Amino acid sequence: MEIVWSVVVGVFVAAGIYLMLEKHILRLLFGIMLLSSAVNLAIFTAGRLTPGELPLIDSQALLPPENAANPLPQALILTAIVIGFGLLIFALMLFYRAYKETDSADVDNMPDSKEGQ
Amino acid sequence: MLNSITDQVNLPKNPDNQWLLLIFPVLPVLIFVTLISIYTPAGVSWNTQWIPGLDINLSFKLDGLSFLFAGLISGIGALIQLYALGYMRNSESRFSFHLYLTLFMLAMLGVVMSDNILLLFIFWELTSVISYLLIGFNHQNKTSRKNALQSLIVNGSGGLAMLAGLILLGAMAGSYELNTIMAQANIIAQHHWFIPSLVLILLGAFTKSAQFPFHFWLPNAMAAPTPVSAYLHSATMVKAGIYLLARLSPIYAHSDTWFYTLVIAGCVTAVWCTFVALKQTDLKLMLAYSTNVALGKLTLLLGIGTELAISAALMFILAHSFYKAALFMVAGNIDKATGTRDIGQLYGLRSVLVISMVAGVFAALSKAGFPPLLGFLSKEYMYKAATEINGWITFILVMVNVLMVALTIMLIARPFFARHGDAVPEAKQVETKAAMWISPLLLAFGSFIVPLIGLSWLDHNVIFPGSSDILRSAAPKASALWHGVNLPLVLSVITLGLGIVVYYIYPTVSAFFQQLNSLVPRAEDIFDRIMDAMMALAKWQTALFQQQKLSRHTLLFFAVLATVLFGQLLSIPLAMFDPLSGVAFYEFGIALLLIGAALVCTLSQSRLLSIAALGMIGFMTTLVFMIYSAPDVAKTLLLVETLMVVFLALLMRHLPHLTTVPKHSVKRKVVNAVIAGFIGVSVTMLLMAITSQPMDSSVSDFFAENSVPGGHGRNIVNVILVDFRAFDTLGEIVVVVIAGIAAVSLLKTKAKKQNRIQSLIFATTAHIVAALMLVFSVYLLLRGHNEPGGGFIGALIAVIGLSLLMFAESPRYVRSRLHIKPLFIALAGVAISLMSGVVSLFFDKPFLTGLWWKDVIPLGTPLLFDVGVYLAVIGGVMGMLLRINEELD
Repeated sequence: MEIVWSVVVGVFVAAGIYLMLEKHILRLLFGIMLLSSAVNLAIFTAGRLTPGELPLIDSQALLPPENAANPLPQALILTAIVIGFGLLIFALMLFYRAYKETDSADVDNMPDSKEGQ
Repeated sequence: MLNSITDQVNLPKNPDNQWLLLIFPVLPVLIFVTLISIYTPAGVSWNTQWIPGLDINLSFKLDGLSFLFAGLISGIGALIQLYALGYMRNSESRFSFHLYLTLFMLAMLGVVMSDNILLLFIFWELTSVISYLLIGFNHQNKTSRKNALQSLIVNGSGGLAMLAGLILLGAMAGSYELNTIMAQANIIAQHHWFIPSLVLILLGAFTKSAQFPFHFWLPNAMAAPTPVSAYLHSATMVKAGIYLLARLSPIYAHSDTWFYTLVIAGCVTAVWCTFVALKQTDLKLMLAYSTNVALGKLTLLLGIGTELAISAALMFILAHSFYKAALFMVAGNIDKATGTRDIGQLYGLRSVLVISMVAGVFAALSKAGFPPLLGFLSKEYMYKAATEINGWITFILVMVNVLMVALTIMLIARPFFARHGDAVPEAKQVETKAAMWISPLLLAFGSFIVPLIGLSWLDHNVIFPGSSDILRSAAPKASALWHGVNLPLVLSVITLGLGIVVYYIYPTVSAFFQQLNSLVPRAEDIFDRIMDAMMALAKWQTALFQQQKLSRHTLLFFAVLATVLFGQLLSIPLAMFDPLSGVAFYEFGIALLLIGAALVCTLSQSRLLSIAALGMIGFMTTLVFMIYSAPDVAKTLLLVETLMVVFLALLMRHLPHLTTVPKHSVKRKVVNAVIAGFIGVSVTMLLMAITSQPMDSSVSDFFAENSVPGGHGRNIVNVILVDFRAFDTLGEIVVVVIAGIAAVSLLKTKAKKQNRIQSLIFATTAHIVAALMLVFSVYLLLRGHNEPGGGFIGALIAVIGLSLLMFAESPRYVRSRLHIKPLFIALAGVAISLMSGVVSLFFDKPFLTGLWWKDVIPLGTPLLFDVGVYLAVIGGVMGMLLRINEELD
């Protein structure tokens, strides 16, 4: 079943990159968001997909169930999501400020700051 | 930077403070005395480890060869520092000047005393860098800057070549210690890297010692203040290359390549620079080219490499350092007194600069090889060595020396003794300051006294041990001034006689060489042309790639990525792909929805539709994580997506419509689509290839097995986050906090607007829901170790609760309820996490080891760590949210 999600990741990557090549700063941001989703999904898929068995250990047992999901990619993605969130907000603020300073939302054509810094 | 620091500590011009500057000449004197007292002809060594992993040790050795150089460096260093005290008296930044000179001296001492070739290289490069500062000392002057840069580039590139050569040498010997390398000389000689390493090291030595065709930087370095020229070009910098040749002679000298390269390079340098020297009219330039000539002769002698040649080289190094330093200082005095160094304008200075004249005459006699001065001694040995080899070399040496004698007479006779009718020269009296004449006078007398009384000491302490350092089998005989009437003596007499003759026809000779020179391209012009070409290339490629268009940069980047991936793609066999089996219907459904949403987001012309599509993608992805047993990830993502919608909703209205910006041309869109599509397909195929391989789950298994016994937690994901990989997590919360601070700092207005949703129902329920969410967030935080939950998830729930309050009331309301600034909450969180890691240090465990007190209470440092994570995320994210809401309406 990984193959389905591999295709989804591919579409996300392609769409994300296409958006990052656009001129409008918002589209650039959308592209970054798509790409970061794609990366999270890709890590998850590469760690194999296991429906139905949570990586939790029963209160009596010492080990997780035999077919439990791989916990490592989950830990990696969890922090990646939070960091990605921080990055996106920062990018959003940066774009907003750039737009306020230059009056232009075109990344190829941002004149120098109005204040002439 | 060093300049700006030292500029600040430059002493005021108050003469009472000037005695502080005396430490600069005193230091080299102390070094000189120490060297003499610890030196024994057998050699003294001292070493300690520095970077043992790279075989770089702080090993120093003081043997005969090192002693000669170290003595000259510190001894002449002291005299130059003293001279500079007088010479630079009125300079604003004399403190920096003395400091640079001192640093340079220490670096040179390092070069000649290192017993590890990589250590030697480090000092070697230091001399290049500091000489850059010294040569460019008058940095207001454009020529100074240009010439300093030129010498840095020539020496720096030579140094790089030398580094490569030294590494090859070290690799051949299996060690970078000179001792070991010397012991392996036989093995190295058979190695196929022998010649490459030889060539590379010679490049380094030749650039440093200004051998043809790298000779041009040395005369250009005359842009430096005269004390620098006197120091760098008599005893130190340019001799470093000679030192290296001498030091490595035992390894390379037996090869023919070495012999021919050194002999030819030495002869060409000596002859060519003699020609150029004769057409100069500037005192310092005449001296500079004659230094080139001396270096050529030294290279030639080391190339010949016989016992006599080595003795001659050692003596010549000594003699040259003495007379050249003295002559430079005399030239400096002339310059100071008259304001010019043009030999055509100078005359009759003997009445003004009496002491300089005496010093100049003695130094010149030594340079001309007049018995019984040091210069005579070294010239005798030089002729002896040459006559042993062949007539051509002898002829070249005699011819070069004849012309040099003429030049030397010119140097002294013109400024001091020439008459200009009855005119009295306009000159300032500079010899009232003792510092200006003590040094040249001492050196000039040294040239006279050393061969008379110090010859046997010199033999036993310098010449004998030095010769055997260079030539293992050497058993030199005692030096003597008088060998009876023999061929070398006759040649010496001829040299002097012809030199005087040439002096009388000097203008003719000078004009002849002037013409000769104009026929040949100058090495410096070629250097300049190469530099210009490199600059042009750099400009061209900058203009090509840096077009100040972001989308082109991005395109270039992704095009490269696509190309790289293309190679990978071809190597994946198609047979590896799993058949499409066991995929449930709902999985297809979600996948199709995701793909559809991604396409909508890409193609939509409406901001709202794009954001809706992104929201759809976020929540559908959450579902994917839920289906495939990742509850913690799913929860986190759900919360993050919710927050993201809040942020976007706040900011969206303040950014222009998607249609306001002109679009790419259709052609460009196609290119973009092809590149994006190509990378997408590659990623898909790579991922399929990865998942079709059997998985190595050893790391995951380790975590699963140790989660309960080691981490006392039943939620493996959380145990990984707060225990196994806590260091990573610590780094991550720091990043989140930094991102928060950075994002807030991008909003600059101080306006604090009051935004609220005007709805009584919302306002009332928001308080209740927010309170519930805060309680729930603490619950999630605490249970996280055993069940889905934890610091990240708890914090995000809390943030959403607080955001509700923010919309219902106002950012100020939330701030007042928090009591503490979000930034401080975040920093406190990071501090708590750090502290929980530090605790384990007190129990002699590595940083961030989880400690538990299960017997007493079910708590441990990982829980504390998670509390830190919780606070850091709340503080970081809340800080951004509040600030953004205050900024925008």
